[in-house]
Amino acid sequence: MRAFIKGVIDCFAVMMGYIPVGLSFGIAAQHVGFSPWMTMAVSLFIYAGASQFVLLGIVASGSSALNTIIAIVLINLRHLFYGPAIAHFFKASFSKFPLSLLAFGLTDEVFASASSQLKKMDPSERRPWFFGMAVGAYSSWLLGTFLGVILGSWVEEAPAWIGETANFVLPALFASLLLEVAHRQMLPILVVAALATIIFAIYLPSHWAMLLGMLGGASVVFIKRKAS
Amino acid sequence: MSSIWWIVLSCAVATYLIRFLPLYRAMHRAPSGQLSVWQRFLMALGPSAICVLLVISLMPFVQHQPMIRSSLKVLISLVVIIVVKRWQKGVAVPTFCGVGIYALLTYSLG
Repeated sequence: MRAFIKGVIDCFAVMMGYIPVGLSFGIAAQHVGFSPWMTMAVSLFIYAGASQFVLLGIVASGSSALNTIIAIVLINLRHLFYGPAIAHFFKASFSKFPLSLLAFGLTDEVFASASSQLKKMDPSERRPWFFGMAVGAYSSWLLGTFLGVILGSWVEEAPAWIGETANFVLPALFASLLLEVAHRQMLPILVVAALATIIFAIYLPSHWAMLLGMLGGASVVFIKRKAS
Repeated sequence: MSSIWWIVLSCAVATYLIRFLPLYRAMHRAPSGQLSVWQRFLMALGPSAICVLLVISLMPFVQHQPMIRSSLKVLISLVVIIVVKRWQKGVAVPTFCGVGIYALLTYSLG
């Protein structure tokens, strides 16, 4: 239970980032014409930030169901690698929290936090901690969406600096997480990942740039192996 | 049920399977004694993904007009995060100091 609560507490920064983004989604969905129930259902069942916004755009454009599903799958392709990347942390861990439950909460931000924190933990604490983190993130996403649905017009009239600051929470969290995991040996991986992302983002949509940048950075281990 | 509900539910199932199946498969693979290059690749994915998420999430700030003021606010906030991280363990305090400085700069400079 202590590890679960620690997971929820450690999720605080993610929650502060998720609430404004969820809120923006709630407002955007109302603008597209989604009912409050449908808006909540999208956050409740899909629970994937970027693809939820894309879903709104595709549905609004009147595209076919198959096109919509293919687009969502392509946007989320990078998640294919998240599970295998953290699976070894769970192997020696207590199995009260089944993988099927943990996998639902494996978003970008939860993965980023988990990959920097799990290695420092006792194996028995890893699954409850991860579950706490996933529950915190998921609840804040739902809370944000709910607030967007009920407070939409009021939020749109709030001072601009509040919205702009809310947008900076996730970049600030990623910067802190990067400082937590980065060490000198990792520098080539990080430099290649950053440069590849910037270059691909010029020519491709951001979800492709993310996937290719992530794989490009990690691929440095193959080059290092050949060199050694 | 209307078609939009089917789209939402299909997207939900697809997103969940993309997260669950690779995790399940990796968990049920027999452990090997020595770290293979594939395992090292997977271990490098975490830091690589964090770096990518940082770069992507900063892009709208750098493209924001006026660009110099926006970039300067981000730069100062990132420096604050780096400085605070040297003194503080964990990620919460550096994150909130960075966000606090950014809020202050945005409120005062616009």
